[in-house]
This record gives sequence, structure tokens and C-alpha cells, in this order.
Amino acid sequence: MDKQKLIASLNEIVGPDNVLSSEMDLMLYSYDASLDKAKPDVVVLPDSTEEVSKIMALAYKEKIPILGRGSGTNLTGGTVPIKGGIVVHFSRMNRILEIDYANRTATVQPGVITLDLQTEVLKKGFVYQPDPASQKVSTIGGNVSENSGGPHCLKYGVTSNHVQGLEVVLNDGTVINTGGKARDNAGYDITALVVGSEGTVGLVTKAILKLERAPESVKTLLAIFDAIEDGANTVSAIVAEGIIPATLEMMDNTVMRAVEETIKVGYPLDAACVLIIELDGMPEGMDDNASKIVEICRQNHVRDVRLAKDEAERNVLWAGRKGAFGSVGQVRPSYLCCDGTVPRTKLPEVLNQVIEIGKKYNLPIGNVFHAGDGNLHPLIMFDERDEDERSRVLKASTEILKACADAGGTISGEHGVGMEKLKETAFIFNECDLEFERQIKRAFDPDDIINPGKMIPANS
Amino acid sequence: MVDDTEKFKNLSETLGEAHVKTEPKITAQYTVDNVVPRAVVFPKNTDQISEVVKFANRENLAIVTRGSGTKMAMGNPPRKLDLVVCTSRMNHMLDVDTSNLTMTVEAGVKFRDIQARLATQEDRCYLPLGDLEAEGDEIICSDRSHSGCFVPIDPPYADKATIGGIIATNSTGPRRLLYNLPRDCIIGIRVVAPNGDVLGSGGKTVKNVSGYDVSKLMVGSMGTLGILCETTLRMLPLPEKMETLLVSFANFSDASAFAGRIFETSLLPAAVEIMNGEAFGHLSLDDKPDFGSNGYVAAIALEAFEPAVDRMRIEMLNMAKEAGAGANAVFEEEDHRSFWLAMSNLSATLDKKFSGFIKAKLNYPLSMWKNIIASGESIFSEANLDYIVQAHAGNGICFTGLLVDNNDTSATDKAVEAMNQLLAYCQEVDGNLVIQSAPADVKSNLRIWGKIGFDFVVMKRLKDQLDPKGIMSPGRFVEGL
Amino acid sequence: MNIVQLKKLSYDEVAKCNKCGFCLPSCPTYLVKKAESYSARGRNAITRFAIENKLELNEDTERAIFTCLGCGACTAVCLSSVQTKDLIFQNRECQVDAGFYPKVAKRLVKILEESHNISDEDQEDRAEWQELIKELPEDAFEKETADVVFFVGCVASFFPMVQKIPANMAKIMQSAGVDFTILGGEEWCCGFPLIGAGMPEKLAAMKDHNLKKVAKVGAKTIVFTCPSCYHTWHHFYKSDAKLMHASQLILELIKDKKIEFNKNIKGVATYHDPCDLGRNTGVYEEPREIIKAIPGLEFVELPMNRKFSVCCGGGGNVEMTDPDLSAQVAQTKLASIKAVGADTVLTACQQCVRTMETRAKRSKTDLVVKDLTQLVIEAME
Ligand SMILES: Cc1cc2nc3c(=O)[nH]c(=O)nc-3n(C[C@H](O)[C@H](O)[C@H](O)COP(=O)(O)OP(=O)(O)OC[C@H]3O[C@@H](n4cnc5c(N)ncnc54)[C@H](O)[C@@H]3O)c2cc1C
Ligand code: SF4
Ligand code: SF4
Repeated sequence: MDKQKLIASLNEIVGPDNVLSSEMDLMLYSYDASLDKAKPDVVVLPDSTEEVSKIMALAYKEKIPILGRGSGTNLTGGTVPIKGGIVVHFSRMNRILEIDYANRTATVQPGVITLDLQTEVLKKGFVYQPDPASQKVSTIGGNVSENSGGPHCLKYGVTSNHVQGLEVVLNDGTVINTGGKARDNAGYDITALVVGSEGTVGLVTKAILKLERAPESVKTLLAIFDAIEDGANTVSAIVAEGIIPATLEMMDNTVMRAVEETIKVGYPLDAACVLIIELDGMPEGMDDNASKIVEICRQNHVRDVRLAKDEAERNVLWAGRKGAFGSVGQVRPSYLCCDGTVPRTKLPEVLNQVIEIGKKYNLPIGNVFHAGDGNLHPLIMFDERDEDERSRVLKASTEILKACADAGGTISGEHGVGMEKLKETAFIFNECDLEFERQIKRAFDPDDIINPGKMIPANS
Repeated sequence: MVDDTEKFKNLSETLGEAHVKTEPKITAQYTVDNVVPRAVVFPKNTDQISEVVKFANRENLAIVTRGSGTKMAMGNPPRKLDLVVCTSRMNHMLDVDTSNLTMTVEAGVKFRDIQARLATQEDRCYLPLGDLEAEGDEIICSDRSHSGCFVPIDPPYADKATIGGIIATNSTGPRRLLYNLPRDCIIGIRVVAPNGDVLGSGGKTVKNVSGYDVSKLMVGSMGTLGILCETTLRMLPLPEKMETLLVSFANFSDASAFAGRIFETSLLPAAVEIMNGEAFGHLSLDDKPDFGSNGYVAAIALEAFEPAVDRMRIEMLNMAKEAGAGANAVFEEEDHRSFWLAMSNLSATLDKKFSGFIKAKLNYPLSMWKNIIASGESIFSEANLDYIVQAHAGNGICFTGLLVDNNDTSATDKAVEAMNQLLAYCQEVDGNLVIQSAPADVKSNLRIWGKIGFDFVVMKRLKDQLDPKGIMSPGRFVEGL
Repeated sequence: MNIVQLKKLSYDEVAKCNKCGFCLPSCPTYLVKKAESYSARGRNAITRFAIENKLELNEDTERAIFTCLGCGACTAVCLSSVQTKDLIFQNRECQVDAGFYPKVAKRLVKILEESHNISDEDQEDRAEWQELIKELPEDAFEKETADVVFFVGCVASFFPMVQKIPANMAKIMQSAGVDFTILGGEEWCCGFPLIGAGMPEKLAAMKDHNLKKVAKVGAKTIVFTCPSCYHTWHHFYKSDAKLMHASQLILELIKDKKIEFNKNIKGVATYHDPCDLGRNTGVYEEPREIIKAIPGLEFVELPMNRKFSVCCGGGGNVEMTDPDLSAQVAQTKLASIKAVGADTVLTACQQCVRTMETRAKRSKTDLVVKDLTQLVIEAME
């Protein structure tokens, strides 16, 4: 379809104010938080499911690539339109449609910011558990598509475990509902398939999310170590002891220093790493569990274990953790985050390999990650403008993911494959696995117009 | 009758003659809703299953997979049935990594063996080891990891079901309140696809977003998208203390008020089960307290740290009193475990007692549970039927069973009519009613899968794409997929 | 400024933006417009693409770059501490050189150069506000020498809606016995609008003039009711005099018991941190201490306060370049104030008062908008 005609048709659907097509606007939708870039042909900002359905039907009829975008904070090129086409920006569809405490659900549009929903339900003593570090800005649509996780997902599970139903616009514009307020619907679990599909099977226009009562009490510990190995061994030992805290996060010296530049948390800057360990639930038995954890830390040569004495202290500890990615900008302008995940017993070993890889390529690497889940996030720091450095970074990243896969792990724990890790899927999938995924994709999108070129490598 | 021996010769060569049965005497024991398969095969590992499926593809044979056979009564009668694939020989625990809190097992491993394997040195286990009975020449796993862990699933037929069957049917029980669903604890699978390909998804990491979540797609898919061969599960440490509170109430309204109170607090019980006297009366349990048969019984599972259990017991018994409770009883540890095993076997017990037993699973938005049960009560008593009701309060799930004799045609007709009425009511409140078991000859009068959602278009597209020849469990799943 | 100069000045800073997007929900213009070009991340991307010659400056980039409020909220949440506001103002210089900048900006410069105030009024009318004070002899506040110079600023001098601010401030100082003067017709615009307009080089003339006049009076202290004048003096002037915002001086007077509060003030009030006073200059606590010293008044904080305060919509010349956008930002601000249950919003800036009061009137929002100076006078009487 001719571009002017396309724009005219979209104008009719959403009104000209909500169709962006200037060269500047296209450039501004060419990126996300990853390193990739590609321009769309046009950007639309719909306001309703009906509009999205019409946009999709148009794309289907004309075989134009189309993809959804929330806040564009994904780290793997998920919203980069490598085949051009239409970008559907969900920023205007940001209404919390209903909070139904009796049924413990919240129904929201995809553009709702995760934290906004959480703040709202907390007023009534409820929580929506998934807490990606980007919760201040990420949207529910993005969380659903990437199956995002966060510190508390150790105990409570990732986004997938908290989505009860979705409204999805299919390739031809058909609107379907999966799941619902009632659980255990008959038939295939389409909800589970759409969650984590990286926007490749349809556009999500509504989500029914599960709410839970906020835990009665919370205890947050900061364990300080003089050697990374000790911290890593502690993590493995806590899990092996059969203790699943609410969170078990690790942060190394490099990252602590960077964070301290912007947020004054009071991390011990002379320590090698810290663990942020949080317990929650009923207060009964919590002290015992905490003492057990402290004992394990001691066995692993902890320097000191501090207890957050109030909500304010706890908040500042978390502000530091959640701000960690961004703050590495204080060290070098760009970073690449490897999202490799390993069985928890392999943590010390793989962490060592990561450090070695950093040395080999002469790149600074900071570590801040969901240790309890075995979900590493080595942040390789560099300057995107330096071509040589950039190519070393890509090599190092591939090598790190290989190390994770070799340890029985996987290449992505929560950020997705996107376009950044297509090649690395070979570390974990064989041709049969990939073919099965392609079949799933074909079932939803036989013409390959929905976020094409992502998640599954093309047939070789 | 055609002699199929020749046809299946090829398979015999791959699996070994002893593991491919075509004798009518044997195949008759493997009927699915009275349809007799042409052969029953017993592959010993994933590769052999792959061979079987490839063979079925070539020969265009319809396959139904079977574990222990506890839930073969689920689903529509098969449209076509040639091969029953039994997973009973696939009973190996491939990797028990208690330090990582994960384990990988073959699909034919029984749930009870998994739990037994994870028991402590002192044989403290999630299931009551003393109550488990082996059938035939089977033995119950005596190898112990001594980890004191368990796999947090609470399925019906806990002592017989295989893990493959549990996952394929998405079997859940009362304690999903605390531990969630099988879909939440599966982190990896190996599956033989309908074309015979062996494929994997997920693995030993508790988090994974590399590719579509094929593991979750397989949960509850009733073997229509492939054969589940191996699965990796996450486990949890055994709770420090386990205890059951049983409280009797004069009627449902008091019992439900009690449950309602519990959910207003931040206490964390593992299960809040509300059942009628009939259900409680049929539980096969030694030393069952006598609560009479007219009222309702609330069974609360407490699985937590000791002080937390103590607090919950005290607070909940108080709440019960305020809600007008009658007698109560407390079961600790092994008695607790025996109680919940008996709960998980309730339908098995009733199935044996009533030849025309019809069992349904109802789902609905949480807040509708009182209306649903009231409506069930009135429909059933109007039709003068004996019934059990068992609600997983706080989950929006309820089971109900009609205790009829298959020879009593008038009762059976009334039962069918009643189930259909209840289905209509469930639909009205955005819920559904799925028949979990019914005599084969009654099934045609029932809507086995109840109401099908708007997403059926996608289910159909998936099935057509993944199993174009329609050889995996044809006809049994929703809308005859 | 051309692209080469911009690269030299801004490239390293803008490269620190790793596109994390954390600034999106803090950027008031993005919250209203919901498109990337109205966000801090988008504006930084424009600068970066321009530097890398991937994007030409034109009317579209003009619209994006000149609708920034200069509020600095983006930097407050940016973990890489990217100085977005400064980058945008630098970019504006480039836009100006390339000829893509709002016509109103062009006019503004002309007016400033010719009339020395933003309203194109006669400089002699600068002290008109004194008429608001009853029984005051003419030119009572214009002395040859004084300890303190009260720098009134253009907006408060010429916009009737906010002329009561200098009048009240003068009354406060007078009753506290402060030896102060105003510069009257000799006060020139501080030059702040020129920075926002992308023409900071034109500021020099005004700076020199104002510095000279203050020196002549021999004042050791200069006090401002306008946070932007205060901020401009702080960051762009070099003066030996002590610079104080009105709230700082008033608090000192309260502490020294030079002013006393006799009247109970009823109601529930919240405080809006003006961007240039709070985030951009660091004055957060003095206004709050004054409010807390007022008898009777119930005080509630906005959820986004101090460093994270949300702009009223009146910053960055946007009121001139895109009045609709400015109004929409103001509307959001009013909603957040009503949401905490306040019947009054206090602030310490004539521009914020103007923006919020105008918006409240237009949208029939039941809300009282007051400058701190007014509150103090009311409680003193
Ligand atoms: C500093 C930083 C920290 C982060 N921390 C975490 C973390 O702790 N845990 C974590 O899991 N992730 C984290 N992320 C990654 C990212 O924030 C998450 O992936 C988030 O869910 C993306 O949300 P978004 O709204 O920005 O989605 P986008 O980036 O806009 O989109 C993500 C994907 O979803 C698709 N999509 C979006 N909306 C829809 C829709 N309505 N329908 C269909 N498809 C849609 C897009 O096509 C794309 O493929 C972090 C990122 C940053 C920059
Ligand atoms: S300006 Fe800061 S907060 Fe905004 S996208 Fe760039 S780095 Fe992130
Ligand atoms: S200064 Fe304010 S308006 Fe400008 S980009 Fe930053 S947050 Fe947005």
C-alpha cells in the first residue's frame, strides 16, 4: 500500500492527531532500551480496542508489518520495527478499567504503568506481585508480552503466574478473550501462550490481573560480603537449605558505587557484594527463618548483616536496587544486559566465568541480579559510539550466554529473546524445538506480519 | 475383527514384542469410553514414544495416551482410537536436584513416588507414606533424597496418578489456595510432537522466557498436542508443621460465612475446603469424627511454620465459633496427611460405590461461590438426587458429584438434566461446568466441556497447525478437537 | 550554535542517555501528549540524532524542543543524571541558528532589547504595584542606598493578577524593619526568557546593567520573589551580594521574631514546589517551615514533592509557544492537588500562581491559589 494511502486510512481510524509520520517521529520510534534501531513507516496511538482491531484488519488486508509498543523499555529490540510498517503505541490506552476486590482481579488497558496499578491497589491493602525494576515506567502490555519478572518473583512467580485473562486482537482484527475472572477455563491455555510471546501473536488490548492481599509483615536484610564467591555460595546454600525468601538479590561493588552516585543508599562501598534478602508473610516464624539465613551467611564468611529498621530504610535499599541498571550510566554511557539464567547451584561457577569473560575482552562488568532465581544480569559497560568496543561487547555477551546455556541454563530469564538474542537461541534449542515454535507462530500469524523477525530465528 | 498383529509388527520390532499388545483380552482393558483400541503399547522412553508417533503418522493411527488410567473418563468419547500409549514403563526419575529445588522425571512416574523420594530421613513426607498401597507387582519408591521437600501439587488420586496425567489434565486440589497450579510449578518439558519430533522447552531454571511457553500450553491439553514425556518441576521445602482443622456447621450459609471471615484476614491457610455432610460422610478415613450428615463441614489445611500454624488454629477456631460452628476436630501431621489423601480419593471412592456417578468441576469468579452452591443445592434437591458438594473456597472452584446408579434410568435422566441446568447457571455468571467423569453411555447427553470461550478460534488454529492429521486424542477435547 | 558546536558541547552528555525511559512518566508534556517527541527521552534522541547527522532540525524538531517546560523533572529521576533540560536549551540555540524557532521567541527578544521587560511596557510603570498598598507615599521603596535590594522581576511588575506579590513582600519587609529598596525603572529583565528561547548570549547586556545598578545601591543582599530571576542570578550572574529567595528571608524574619502571626488560618493547604526554586536551585524546606509556622493551617504534602515536584505548566516559555499544552499540564497539576484533599495550594512563584489560578478559574476548579507572601500577610494581620 502506498504510504500516503496508509496514513489516510489510519487517519480515518484514529484521527490525524494520533497518526505520526514525520521523519522525526519515525526516528523516535526506531529504538527501545536495547542497542537496535529501525524505523517504522507510521506510528498510531489508538484509544480503544475497536480502533486497534481496525488497524490490525488494515495491516492484515495489506500485509503490512505491525507491532505493539508500551513504554519501549524492553532490552532486546522487541519494539524495533525491523521490517518497518506500523507501530501501535499504547500510551493512550492507559486506563484502569476495574478493580474488583471481591474477585481479586484488576482489569486494565495495556498502557497502564505497572507501578500506577500497584500504588492504586495498595491503598486497599492489595498487591499485584510482579515487580520489574522498571515498574515505574513499564506498561502492563509490555510486562505481559515479555513475561517480566522482578525481585519478588522468586517467591511469587513471574507475570505469567499473575495474569488471569487477556483480550487480544488477532492478526485479522478478530477480538478474542482468553481466560477471565474465573480460573481454569476449558481448552488450551491461550493466556499462557500470549504471555511472554514478545508481541508476536497479536495485540493485547486488555488484561485481567490477579490481586493478592499484601503480606502482613516484611523483614529486609542486607548481607555484606568481602568476596563475590561468598555471596554466591550463600545464595546457593540458602536455596539448598530449602528456604525460599521473598527476594534474594545480589549487587556487586561496581554497581553499588554507580548507584551511590545518584541515590544515597549507604551501601558499603568497600564490600565486594551485598545480598538483599527479604522475608514476607505472617510474622510468626519469620524471626527463626531470618536467624537461619544469618547463620548461613556466617558460614559463608559474611562481614555483616544489617536489618532495615523501618519502611523508609527498606524503601531506600530497594530504590538503589531498582535504580541499578540506569546508574551504570555513571560509569560508562551505554550498557548491555545479559539476561542468562542458570540452575541456582551453578551460580558461583557461572559468575566466575562472567568475571573471566569481562577480563578477556577488557570490559567492565557490573553484576546486579535476581540471585535466588539464578537469573544473572551482567551489565557490560561501554560506549556505544566506539565501534571496536561495541563489537567486543557483543562477543562477550554471546560468550556469557553460552556459559549459562552450558551450565544447564537458558539465554533469557525475563527480558526475552527479541532480535538481540536470535542467534543465541541455538544454544538452547534444536531445529525441532524451533519448528514447533514456528508452527505456533503460524497458527496465530500465517503471513508473518505481527512483530516479524523477533524471538524465533528464521528457517535456516 | 481384523488381525492387526501384522500391522503392528514394525512397532514390536522397535519396542519389543512384549510391549505391543493387540490381543483383544488385553486391549479390552484399555478402552476409552467403551471404544476398544487396536493395540496398546508400552514404550520405555522418549525415543520410543517418538518412534510410536512417527509410526502412527505413517499409518494414520489415532493415539490416546494413558498414565495410570485414573482420569480416562474425562473428555468426549474419542472420534477414533487405534493406539493406546501407556507411560507405565516411563517411570524414571532422571534428575533429583534437591539443592536446586528442581527435579526432572519421566511422565509415567507416579506422583506418590515423587513425594516419597523427597521425604526426610525420618520418612516425613507430603503424603502419608503409611497409607500408600502398591498395586500388583509395583513397589513404592523407597529411595530417599532426605531433602524434606515436596512438589507443591495437590491432585486427585494422589496415590495413583502419574505426573504426566496430572499435567495433561491440569489436576488440582484444595491446597492450590497456597501452592497454585501445576502450570505454576512446571519449568520444563520434553514432548513428542504430533509429527514425532522430540522437542524441549524450559529446563532447570525457575525463570525462562526464551520462546513461547510450550510447557504451559501442554498443561491441561489432554494429550491433543503431543505426548508429554519428561517434565521438570520445582519443589518447596516441607512445611514445618501440618495440621487440619475440621469444623462442622449446621448449613452452608454458616460455613461460607466462616470461610468469608478467613479471607478478610492476612492469614495464609493452605486450603479452605467447604463440603456438604454427604461428601464428608463418604470420605474413607479411619477415626472420622461424627458430624452428622445434614450440615456442612469446613476443612482447613494449615501448612506453615509452627507458630504461624498455632496462631491460625486459635484465630480460626474463634472465627468458627462466631460463625456458629458446631463440633470441631484437629488432625496433626500424619492424620492431617491421611485426611487430605482421603479427600483426594473421594471421587475414586464414590466411583466405586455408584455405578452411574457423574462428577463435574465448576469454575466461576470467586465472589460467586455462594450463589453457585446455593443454586446447585436447589437444583439437586428439587430433582431429588443425592449429591456431594466440595468447594475449594478462595479459588473459584467447586466439585460436585451426583450419586446415582447407572441402572436407575430415571435418576440418571434427572442427573443429566440437573447438570445441564447447573451449567446454564454457571455460564450466566461467567463460569463454566466441565464433566470430569460420567458413564460412557450418558456422555452424549452432556456438554462435557461446557461453555467454550471466544478464544476457541485460536485453539482450533493451533490444533490444525500442530496436529494437521488429527491423530492425537481426536475428538476428546473441547468442541471435539 | 551549529551542529558541530553542539556536538562538542552536548555529545558526551546526551550519550549518557541509555534510553531506559524512566523519565517518561515524570515528564509532564509526555503525560499530556503521550508521544515520544514530547518526552525527555525523545528530546534527547533528537539531539543525539541531530549531532550524528541522522536527523535534520526542522519545524517538527522545533515543536518537540520548544515544548519542554525546562522543569528538570526528568533529571530528578534519571539514574544516569542526564542533564536533559540543559541539553534541550543548548539544542534550542541550534534550532535558533537553523531558523526553526517559535515566532513568539523572536518577538520576545526584540521586546526585551527595546523595552527591557517582557511585556513591552514602559519601564517607568515597573513599580505600579505600589499603588496596591494603601496610604503609601509615591516611590516610598526607591532609595539611593539600602542593605537589601528587592528584585521584583517582570511578571510580578506587569501582570495585575500577581502584582499583589511584590506588594505583600514589601509590606512584610517594611513591617519587619528591613532596610530595602527596589530598582524601579532601572530594573531590567534578568534575561531568563532568553535562555529558554535559545539565545543565552543576549543575556549579557541585561546582566551587566542589573549588576551595575545593584552595586550602586551598595546592597549586601538581593531578595527575589521570582524563583526564575533568583535561579538566573544564581547560575548566570556573578554577584558578591547574598542572593535570597523571599521564602528564605521571611523565614529568617520569623526566626528573629521580627514578624509575628496573630491570626488563625483555616483550611487544608498543600505546597507546590516551583521548579526553579526547588529542584533547580535547591530551596525546599524554608517554604514548608513558614507554612508550618502559620497557626491553624492544616498542611498536606503532594505525593510528588520536593525534588519530584511536577511542573505547573508555566515553565520554559511554553505558555507562549503552546498555550494549550501549558493549560493541560496545569490541569493535571490541579487534579493532583485536589486528590490530596487540599482547598488551597500555596507556592512561592508568581508564574506558578498565574498558571494555576488562571487554569482553576477557566476549569471552574474550586481551589484557592496563594503565594506564600499572601499567606504570611494574612496571618500577620
Ligand atoms: C532500567 C531497566 C530495568 C529493567 N528491569 C527489568 C526487570 O527487573 N525485570 C524485567 O523483566 N524486565 C526489566 N526490564 C525490561 C523491560 O522493562 C520489561 O521488558 C518491560 O516489561 C517492558 O515494558 P514496556 O511497556 O516498556 O514494553 P515495550 O518495551 O514497549 O514492549 C515490550 C514488548 O512487548 C510488546 N508489546 C507491548 N505492548 C503490547 C501490547 N499491548 N500488545 C502486544 N504486544 C505488546 C512489544 O511489541 C515488545 O515486543 C528493564 C528495563 C530497563 C530499561
Ligand atoms: S534521560 Fe535518563 S531517564 Fe530518560 S531515558 Fe535517558 S537515561 Fe533514561
Ligand atoms: S525538563 Fe520537564 S518538560 Fe522538559 S523534558 Fe524534562 S521533564 Fe519533560
